[in-house]
Amino acid sequence: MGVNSRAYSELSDDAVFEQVKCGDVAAFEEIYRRYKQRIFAYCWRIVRDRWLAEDVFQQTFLSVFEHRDQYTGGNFAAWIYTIARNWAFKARARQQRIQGHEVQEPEEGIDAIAPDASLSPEAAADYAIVLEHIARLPVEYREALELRYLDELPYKDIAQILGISESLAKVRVFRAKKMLQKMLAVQDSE
Amino acid sequence: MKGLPEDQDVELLIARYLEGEVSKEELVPLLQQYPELQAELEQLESLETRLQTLPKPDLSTYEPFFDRVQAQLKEYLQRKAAPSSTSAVGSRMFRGGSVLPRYWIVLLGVVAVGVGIALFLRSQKATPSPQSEQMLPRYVDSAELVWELPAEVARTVQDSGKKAHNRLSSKEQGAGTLLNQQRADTARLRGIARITTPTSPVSQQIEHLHQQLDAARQQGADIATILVLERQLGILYRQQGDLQQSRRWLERAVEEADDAGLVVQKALAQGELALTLHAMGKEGESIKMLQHATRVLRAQRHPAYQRWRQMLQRITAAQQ
Repeated sequence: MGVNSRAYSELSDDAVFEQVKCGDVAAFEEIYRRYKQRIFAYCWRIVRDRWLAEDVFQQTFLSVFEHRDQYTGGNFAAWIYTIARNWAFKARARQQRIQGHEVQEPEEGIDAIAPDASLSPEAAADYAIVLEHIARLPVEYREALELRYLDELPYKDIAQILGISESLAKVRVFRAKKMLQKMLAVQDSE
Repeated sequence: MKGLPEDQDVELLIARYLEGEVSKEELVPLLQQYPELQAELEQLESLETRLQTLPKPDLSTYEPFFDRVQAQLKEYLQRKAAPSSTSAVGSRMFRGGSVLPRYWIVLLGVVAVGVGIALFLRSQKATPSPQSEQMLPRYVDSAELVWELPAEVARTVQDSGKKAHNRLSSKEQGAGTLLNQQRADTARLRGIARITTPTSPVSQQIEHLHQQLDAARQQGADIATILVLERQLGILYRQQGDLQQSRRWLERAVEEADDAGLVVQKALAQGELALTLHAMGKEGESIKMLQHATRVLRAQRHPAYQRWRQMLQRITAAQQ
């Protein structure tokens, strides 16, 4: 508990999380502050349901704390994303079982997480179009592309989260971009 | 990319070029072989710029939710922060060490008992043991932890949690494993989660139903009785406006009915769940679920079929 909470902002994730392991609640708050938006958006993208995303989000942070001793260092972002991904897929599968059919694409629309209000209308429209097409990609390509460009994660992390090699992560992102390019070209020609 | 072979090595090379990891010189042989690649590359580079400049989503509307979760997590963590023997055990289990064999034996014992219970429940589908895992919620929402309760309510919460913990079987309580700790936590959280504000008649009914549900489980009531109570809880939470809780209880009823193979009970719970989803603004999901529920009820010639058919018609008409 020896680190001043203000000083946490200058520490790496691993260094802060070492304090969490020692039971420092302020350190956990710093981790929460750093990851809350990214993890929530990530959960939402998988479950496509705001209510469910809220549950998965909370469960993720609870799990991070409960299993803090299992983190051995090296890549905190990939670790927390993997936990969120596992909970999100579990929740999604459960939802499908309860509802008796495949969960549909979001009724709220992908823009339920609205882009920044300060954007120009043209930029916001472009953002919406790109996201709409990304949402139509096959899941394995979509996931890789989103982790790369929406979460801005390095390929090493993407590979770890998806449980694939770094080369395959790059190939998936590349293929996703090819597909996206084709979709956007069709849209532009219409 | 038209003309290019679906070769992972070629794709990787282009991907690395687009990421700036390799220079264009390395692509020269490929460009000579596939001249159309040049135009494709330009398009992909343009897309790359577009993707890299995607604005971040604005999650400011979620800030109250983030703050609420943070406050609740903080309270929870402050109680749990002291390095516990459980987490130490968990840590040692995964890292290996002298404690490993002993805990593995305990864990294997627990797994064996669990398999035995599961097999027993499978053979006794309609009358599961009140001590079984079905007593515990499958989904715990930490946001429902009401740590800011007044002292007397907090005591009730703790008592309720203790009771839930005590209902765990002695094997579950005594194993001393991480799994056991999590179950105990889940039971405690459940006790906390069910506290409601005892001001409105609906709240009182909800509290009463919770008591009835507890009693039914303790007395080993049949699953159909439990499902009716859970469904009623879902309905009351919806009446109270707590749609999230309503959804949880109804989803739980659907799952447990599914586990027990009770198709009518499942359809009835799905019907109510559809109404809650509709109230949440999820019309599409709601209609699909109602269609499924009414199909089942019609096939079973259940008296509730007409009511649900009318409900489906009303909702469908409202959406159009």
